[in-house]
Amino acid sequence: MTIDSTATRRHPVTAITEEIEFFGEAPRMLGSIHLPAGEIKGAVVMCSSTHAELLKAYHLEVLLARALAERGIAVHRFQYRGDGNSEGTETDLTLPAMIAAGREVRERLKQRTGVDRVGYMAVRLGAYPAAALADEEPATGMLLWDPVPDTDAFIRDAVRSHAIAALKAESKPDSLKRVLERFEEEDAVELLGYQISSAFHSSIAGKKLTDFTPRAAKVMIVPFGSLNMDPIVDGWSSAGIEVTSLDRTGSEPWWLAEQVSQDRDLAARTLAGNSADWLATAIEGA
Amino acid sequence: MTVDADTDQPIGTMSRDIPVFFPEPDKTNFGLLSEPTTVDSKKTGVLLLSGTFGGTTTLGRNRMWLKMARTLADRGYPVLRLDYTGLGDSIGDAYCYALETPAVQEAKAAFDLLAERGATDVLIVATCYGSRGALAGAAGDPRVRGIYLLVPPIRSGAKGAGGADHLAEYVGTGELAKRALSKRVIRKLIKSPRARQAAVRVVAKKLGIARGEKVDQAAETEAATAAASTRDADEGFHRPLHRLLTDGVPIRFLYGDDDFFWTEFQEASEGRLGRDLDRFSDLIEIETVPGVVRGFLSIRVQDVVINTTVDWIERVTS
Repeated sequence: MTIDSTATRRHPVTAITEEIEFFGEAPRMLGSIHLPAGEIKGAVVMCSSTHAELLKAYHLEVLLARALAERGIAVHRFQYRGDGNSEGTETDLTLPAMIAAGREVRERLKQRTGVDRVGYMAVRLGAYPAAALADEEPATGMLLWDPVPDTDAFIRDAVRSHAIAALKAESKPDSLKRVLERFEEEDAVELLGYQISSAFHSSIAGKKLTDFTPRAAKVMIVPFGSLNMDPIVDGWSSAGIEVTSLDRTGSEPWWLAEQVSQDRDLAARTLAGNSADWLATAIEGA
Repeated sequence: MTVDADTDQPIGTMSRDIPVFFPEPDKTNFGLLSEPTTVDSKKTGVLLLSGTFGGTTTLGRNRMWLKMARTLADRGYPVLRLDYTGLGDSIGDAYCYALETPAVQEAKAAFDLLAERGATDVLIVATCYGSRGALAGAAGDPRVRGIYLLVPPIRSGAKGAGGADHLAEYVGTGELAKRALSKRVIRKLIKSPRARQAAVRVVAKKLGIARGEKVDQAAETEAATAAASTRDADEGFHRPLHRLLTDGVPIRFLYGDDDFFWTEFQEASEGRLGRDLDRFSDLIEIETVPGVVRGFLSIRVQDVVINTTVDWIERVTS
């Protein structure tokens, strides 16, 4: 049996076309393009998070991509080199490499769709490449799911989660200070069963999302946990961007759950639908 | 950098991954075929069936399934990993992914796909939810040459409830009360609705056990309930396992000695499972390693799993 290098499927109900293939120079990335059945009204580059967060948000991102395609917006999802199902190893994954990958995807999406200005959607740490790309070229809109405002706090939380898991397993965890020292001394450090390269750590350390100023008229922030999004809202609003942050104080970060269930699938579809409504409207109005 | 322990080469340098939608005509499922590029493809294909951890079932923690697939493909095996219906890049509605409803159709479609790629037989490596699809899908299928089950649960129950059920069944009331009053647990109960749900489940189950009632009467199937009350493997596990052994298919088990599924396996070995373990001892291998394997929570455990899998596959096919 011959298999094409591109897997293509036309959805039996929505008639959306999905194309999944490896692309780019080695190590190649795995990318998925979701194309509307009718006229293409806009295009979105979707920037995932990394490691465990990539895994957990994966299907939610697929649902959002399909919801956008149903609204006439073409979407390009991709996985960074050295992460997800892309080729490469852990050392290929750094913030500059993530931004470069997003740039490559943006050009690929423009060529594939004929759209000359794209919008962005990002999850957690994926907000950094998305904001960087929107900073260098005007965007039609930007939707961020639970963006990380401050990478040092992100690393601190990851180390803390690792320590809790280690204590549950009755082993003695390293302190935050010691973990940071180990990133200086070693090539990689294990956190929560993931190999985090020191190159990745040093590339994201000390960053704030407001280091970038996206050139998008509208930005929507959907927080899932208890992170304070005010620094992002205030920083970007003062730059003249219309930033909306949903108030979800006290809501459970259910999307972090490791198991899928029918209830969560319904909630995921609702979130994807509402998010797609906002982003499609922003893009069409841009 | 992840390297093959034997060749000292970065994994994936002698193979390539190909994305596929299958089966025809609906193309419901998404999968990734890893195939060798520098040697001829072997005639034994490998199917990896993961649990439902995360939003895609092709990867696993720290890309463990990807590393396993590429390591095997570098050695000449065509390997398929996939997203179950309703997950990842597959289409369809998500369902409850309970052990009572294993992914049989996905397993059968995967055998067909590997056969279309030239594989004359199949080895399956599976864990958790995937282990039930492996057993049920393989039973009676002459293409299946062997199965490696990683920490398989032998009793049904709502997935994700295993910890709560285990606490209720194996930890005494006094000890549970002591744990519930610890600051850490109280904080967790206040903060997390999921923790509160689990606590309610533990209490309800504990009360049920104290009254001598069967477990989860309404929710479980009759067979699963009967099995739970006798601490034997349930029908969904035992029946296909028995069929496979009767057909001469070798089965290998891996547990951590601190896995509560290992405790359940040992208890069930005193019943009909034990009779099969004795009768088919030439077909069954059981290995335990120190600590907890379930969840593949550390890189050490992930390496153990990948290495023992590669060793087993090379041995079975040699």
